Amino acid sequence: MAAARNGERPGPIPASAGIGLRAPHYHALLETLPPVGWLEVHSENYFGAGGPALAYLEALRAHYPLSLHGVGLSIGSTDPLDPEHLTRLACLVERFEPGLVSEHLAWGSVGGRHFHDLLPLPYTEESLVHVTARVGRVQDRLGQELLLENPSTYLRFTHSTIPEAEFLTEVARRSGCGLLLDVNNVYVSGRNHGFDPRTYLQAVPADRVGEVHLAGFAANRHDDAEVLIDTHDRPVWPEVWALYAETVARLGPRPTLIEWDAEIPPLATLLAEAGRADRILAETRRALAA
Amino acid sequence: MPSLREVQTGLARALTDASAVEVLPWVDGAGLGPVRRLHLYRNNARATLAGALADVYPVVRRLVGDRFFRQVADRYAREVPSGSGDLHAFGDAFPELLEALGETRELPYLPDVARLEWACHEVLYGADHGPLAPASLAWVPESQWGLLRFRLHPASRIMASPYPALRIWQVNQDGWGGAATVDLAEGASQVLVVRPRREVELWPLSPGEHALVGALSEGCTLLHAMDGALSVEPGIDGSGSLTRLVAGGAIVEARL
Repeated sequence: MAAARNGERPGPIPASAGIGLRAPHYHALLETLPPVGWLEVHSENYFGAGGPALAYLEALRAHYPLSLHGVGLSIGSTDPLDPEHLTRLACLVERFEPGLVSEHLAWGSVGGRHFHDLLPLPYTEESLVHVTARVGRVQDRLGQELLLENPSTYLRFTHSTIPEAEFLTEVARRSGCGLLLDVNNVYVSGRNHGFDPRTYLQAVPADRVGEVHLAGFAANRHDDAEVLIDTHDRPVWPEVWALYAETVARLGPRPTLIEWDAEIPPLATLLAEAGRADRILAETRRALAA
Repeated sequence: MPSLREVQTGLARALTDASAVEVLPWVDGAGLGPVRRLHLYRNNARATLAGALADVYPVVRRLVGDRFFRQVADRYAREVPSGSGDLHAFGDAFPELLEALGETRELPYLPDVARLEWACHEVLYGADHGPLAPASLAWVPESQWGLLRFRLHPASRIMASPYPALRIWQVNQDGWGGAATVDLAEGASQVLVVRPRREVELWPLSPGEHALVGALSEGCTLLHAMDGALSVEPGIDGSGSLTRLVAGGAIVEARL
């Protein structure tokens, strides 16, 4: 962790473990300033004009690199991009100078109605053209590269023609955006749809991946079938840790976020998860150096 | 092959109406049928919106109980869709839905308690502002004080209720150590919700103070606002109230 000196803010996001910043940890983080590499917030949680959340973020920004992670821009929607949403995001970017800005390959609204969920897209040429154009507009508006994240999905469309990893690769190639590779989401979607997460992970272009996400999922049984739900309410599962180690061995070390958004644990638990990611990153560095 | 627009409007309909079927043929049913896959998304969206309302309206939830709150929250989400990607903007008309419900007639104060909770929510995210600088009044001759107009803190709301809404709100806060019941005969309450410092504060107002703050927030001169306050509450200590509003940081600007 780079300490604040002379009012200078810590700069880019290091290729180490970060944690999702949530309100229950504001105070403990500021008091103890633990040596975690960086923080990530949901952009929309800071869309207010003022208040304690922004004040805490301002205080913590002096000590940690920051990543803004959007959940509500609805990039894949066929509604027009919401100019007010973009303006608020642009204001946050200007104010907090994040090292990374990301959103999801998903949509959350249509006909002006917002579902506040990451809804799946059909992976077609039409969607590809649409998403590429929208990512381009967002990057132009923000004056910054966007990272696009692979979502967890619980359904696929029969008319999808492009595998998701290929779809993301192509959006990145055409729009110049980067990718946020959520290893847990690949695992969850793989189990839900019966594809091999390793095949998916190997198809993602290493040079485009600017960040990795890790989180816990829940397994719901439905009589004869099991569905994994991306709940972000528990530790990362062992099989996802294993995939993560393989992934960074291939990609090289990347900024890695521990996401934990519900049933939020004590800060120490979150830091222990981040420590585990940091140990895997250190092993990767040793192996690459050897 | 459906267009992207058709897929999205079809899925949106299926999320709000379980009987909508147009999207079913487009959903891959391998392993788990389309109906159940859609059900997962419907549940997720419903839980997110109900959760957001529960975060904003914890006292209402406590007063009506978990199960009924969830029913009303689901109905609200169906009838008053979220219109913004910012979830904090969702729930502003929840008090009106509570008012329209037949089931809550025995809790007539419920809509006003909800209005108070929404005011707290808005004030929590309202713009920050420092207190009125004493120097900004120093140059005004005393003979002109009546012509002053004031600006209230941008993170402030006032409300009045024929019920003791503020007391009901207070006794339902976590960690409240006083008497757990409120006598409805206590009658009307007026509140200024304001955030001059980091946390949201709830200031009880007298009826005259409520009229005073209301008039000042609408841009009336001090003279007019005081006249209004006196007509509501002949015994009001107007200058005492004004001092409290300025000293506490609820008034942030003054101009002639």
